[in-house]
Amino acid sequence: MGKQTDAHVVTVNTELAKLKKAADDLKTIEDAFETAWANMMKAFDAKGKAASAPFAGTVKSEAVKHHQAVATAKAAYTSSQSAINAFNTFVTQKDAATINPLAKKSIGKAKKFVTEAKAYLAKYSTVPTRTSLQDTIKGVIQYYG
Amino acid sequence: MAVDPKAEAARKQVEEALKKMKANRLDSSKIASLIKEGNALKGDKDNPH
Repeated sequence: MGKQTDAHVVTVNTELAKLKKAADDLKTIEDAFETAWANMMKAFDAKGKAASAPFAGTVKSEAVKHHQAVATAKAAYTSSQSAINAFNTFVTQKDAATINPLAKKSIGKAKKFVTEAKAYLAKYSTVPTRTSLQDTIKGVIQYYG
Repeated sequence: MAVDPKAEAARKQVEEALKKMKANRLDSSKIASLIKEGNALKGDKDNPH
C-alpha cells in the first residue's frame, strides 16, 4: 500500500487496539463483579444483611472499575469510528480516481477491510450509550451492604 | 425471614443488567482479526497511494 493508506491503517489499528483492550478489561471486571455479587447474595440469603455486608466493598470496587472501563470503551469506540470513517472517505475517493487495475485491486482490499470494520462497529452501536455497573447498583447496594 | 420486596426487585434489576451486559459484550477476537487484516494491507506495492 502507499504511504497514505498505510498511515490510515496505523491510525485505525491503534484505535481498534484501544477498543480491544477496553473490551477485554470490561469482560474481566464484569466476571469479577458477577462473582462478588453472587457471593454477596449467597451470604444474604443464608444469614441476612449482616453476612452480606462484608462483600459490599468488593462489589463497589468492581463497579467503580467498570464505570471507568465503560468510559474508556465509549471513547475508544468513538475514536475507532472516526478513524474508520476517515479511511473510508480516503479509499472511496482513491477508488474513484484510480484506473490502474493492480492499484484498483489493492484498493479493493482496503475497501473490504473498511466495510468489515464498519459492520463490526455497527453491530455494537449501543456501546456509546451503555450504563456502568456503578450506575446500576446505585440505590441497590443499600439493601445488601 | 421475610424478604423486602424492594430489595428483591433491586437485586433482580442488577442481575438482569449484568445478564444483558454479558450478552452484548464486544467480540474481542473479531477486533484482533480486524487488526491483523489491517496490518496485512500495509506494504502492498500495487497501491500507489
